[in-house]
Amino acid sequence: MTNNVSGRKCPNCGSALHYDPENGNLRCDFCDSVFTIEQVDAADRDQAQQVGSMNFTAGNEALQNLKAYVCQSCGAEVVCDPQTVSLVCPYCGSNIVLSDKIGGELTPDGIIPFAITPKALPAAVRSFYKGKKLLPRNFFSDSSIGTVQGVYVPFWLYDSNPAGEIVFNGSCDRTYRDGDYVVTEHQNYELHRSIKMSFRDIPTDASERMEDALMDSLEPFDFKALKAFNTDYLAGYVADRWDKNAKEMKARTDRRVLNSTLTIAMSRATAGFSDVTLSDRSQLDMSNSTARFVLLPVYVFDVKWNGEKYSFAVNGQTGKVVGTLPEDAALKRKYFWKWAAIGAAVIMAANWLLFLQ
Amino acid sequence: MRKKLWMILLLAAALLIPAGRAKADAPLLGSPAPASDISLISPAPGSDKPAWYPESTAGFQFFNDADAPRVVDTADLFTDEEEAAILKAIGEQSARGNADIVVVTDDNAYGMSHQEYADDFYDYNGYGFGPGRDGIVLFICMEPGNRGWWTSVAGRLVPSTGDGPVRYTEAIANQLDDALYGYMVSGRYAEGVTDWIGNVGTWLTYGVPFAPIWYPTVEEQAGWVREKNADAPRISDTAGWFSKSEAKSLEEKAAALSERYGVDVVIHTARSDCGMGKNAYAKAFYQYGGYGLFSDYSGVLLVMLSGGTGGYALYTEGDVPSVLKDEGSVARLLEMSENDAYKADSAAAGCETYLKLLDKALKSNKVPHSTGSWIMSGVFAALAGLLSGGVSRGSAAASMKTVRTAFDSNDYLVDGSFQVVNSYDRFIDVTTTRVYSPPQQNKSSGSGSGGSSTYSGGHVSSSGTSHAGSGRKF
Repeated sequence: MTNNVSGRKCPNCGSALHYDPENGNLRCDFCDSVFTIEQVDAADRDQAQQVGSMNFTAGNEALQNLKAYVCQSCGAEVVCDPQTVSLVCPYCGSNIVLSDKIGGELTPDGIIPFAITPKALPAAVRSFYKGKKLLPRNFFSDSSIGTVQGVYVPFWLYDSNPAGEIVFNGSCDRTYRDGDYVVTEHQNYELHRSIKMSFRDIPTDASERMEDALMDSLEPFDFKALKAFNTDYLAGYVADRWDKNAKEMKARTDRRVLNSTLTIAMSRATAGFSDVTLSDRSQLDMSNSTARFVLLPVYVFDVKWNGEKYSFAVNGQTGKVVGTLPEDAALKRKYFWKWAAIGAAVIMAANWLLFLQ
Repeated sequence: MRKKLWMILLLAAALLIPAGRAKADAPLLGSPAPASDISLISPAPGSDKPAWYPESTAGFQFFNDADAPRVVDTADLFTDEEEAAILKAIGEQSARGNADIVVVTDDNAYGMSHQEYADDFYDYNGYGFGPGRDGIVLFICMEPGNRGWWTSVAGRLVPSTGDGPVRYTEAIANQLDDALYGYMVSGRYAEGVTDWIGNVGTWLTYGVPFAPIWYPTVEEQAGWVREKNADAPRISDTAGWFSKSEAKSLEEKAAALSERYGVDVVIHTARSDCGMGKNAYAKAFYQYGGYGLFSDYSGVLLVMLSGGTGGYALYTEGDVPSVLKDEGSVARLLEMSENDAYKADSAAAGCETYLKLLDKALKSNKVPHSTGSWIMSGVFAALAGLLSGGVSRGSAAASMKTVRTAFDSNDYLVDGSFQVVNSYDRFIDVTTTRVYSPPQQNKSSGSGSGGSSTYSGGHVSSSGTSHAGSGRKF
């Protein structure tokens, strides 16, 4: 079995090039040379360097689902799972892009390159920890951050155009005088609203390996920065191809769209009525939607503390950090009583000043 | 009684002049009128007006008739003895108050309102003292389905035009009507009218319908010069709540406080505020009683009432600590005193507490709080603290969890893309609630004894005279 592998080498010294998120160029860590993607493309053409086709032999049955690739820089054989399309050679650090995996429908329609450098991550994480009152005090000193991995996570970007008739139940009151009586009429109505609206670029992660809620929490991404896919952006990062197709993920997106559609319609199309509720007679067509496959930049890492592992993710475009932090039970109690005492003292002081003095 | 009136009317009709001529020949306003004028006015045959009503009101000249009957009981509500007693009361009270007092009853209002009947009866029959025709008439209507009374005043008693110190204000009207209402609804007409005449006499004499014994007359009020009375008792127990020893003990303590702080300390108990209102009563008692120290009459008076709605009033004057003028502090002081009175089942014990608290207030300008207030405050603060702790901890815990499944896609809505293509509302049903709430057509005043008065502070009757009045249905 043949596997296509592509890697970028410095036109000056032949060392591996990395994508530099700070300026969008390719940088050589060995000789410090910086090239634009176009320059490297030109150098590659000049050298007429062939991207090698390597022979792969399955080692044993357990590895049958895995594929092995030979690093062009050092010749080492690297094994990776079927979803991986880009990785770093563990022996020489060269970037390996598995170009055979990104052809056809697997070719991303776009990519948002990393804009946050790994150097900026500690500051972002420190900022994330800041103000977390219930974080155990020894979390900083006793915790260890695992390997930070820059990953291009596959996402589906949906454009959805829901349309149909939404039916609400609502009421309105009318009050008037009839002789010696004040009459109040409580009128009940069925409100029929044929509506349509459009949503653009709703991201839904397409990777089985990534926790859905964790990826949702990284929003928002700025899709104006979406660029045409180029394997050069993958250099230095791990990238996965999608393993949950657009049809499969549509149901999840549709739930989000439905919630928004009903909320927006209720708030904008039922003015003048009160006690508005949704009727089960509504009919909404959610079929008018399209999806694009894109790669979005995410840093992932684990923090180990007190025998537990806590997963974190960082939006590689905005630097937004998400994750669940451990809570210190003693601090929690202390925090509660501290604010209970402050609250009671303030109220008591106000009472004394206003009423008891 | 009705028979008597008709006999007079028939006699007059047979012997004397037609009613129209009588009016034309009537003397000018304020001049003496023939004693039998009321009998000279007879109704035209088939008239829908009462017997006393003039055949024509055009060019009518007012007159004063000192001999016109002050009780005209057409509805025959009174026995001869009762009528005599009423006449006697009218004679006494009208002389005392220097204003005419008239009572008329009828079982037919002849299509007039009670107010119109009372006004016209008074105007067309020569009632009223002096050129202003000062006086008051009570019309009791016994017409089936239209029972009620109206009191009409004229001359100096009309609030909107009168210039005297005694005027028929809404408050006065309410007090007089309240007192009369119970008698009317229970059918004790003579008793009620007699009581009403007494109250009117008191009002005309003192300016208030139920003046206490120490209250000065209207004339005395006009020439009143405020003076201090060093002999006035500091404990004035009109209601009889204290034993002699209790009164003596309180008197000593009040005197000690007065001497120590230079503020007259007085306690007065009474069965009622005589319809004056607690605060007005307290002020009047303090000022007319000659209380107060130094040139600014500094002092604190506690009035405790048992009758009516009961209650307390704290009146201060002159240089007293500001805390005694603060409503909240005063309410607290009185509440703590009252609580101690209830605990000990002794008004004197409550007054002892009052004097102790007053001592602190005069000394430090503070009224302490009860233990209960502190406990309540502490409990409230503790609850607020627990709430604060819970909310703060909840908020801090929420900030620890930043991983959440996305619920909606609001952030991805294309601006301006929302459109309502078609819309209609289908009517389902209606629930109707009717609450009886009649509109207020007449200005009515509240009442303490039942019913409510309709009051007029000034209006012009059909004869062109200014009147004020009030009345109720019963």
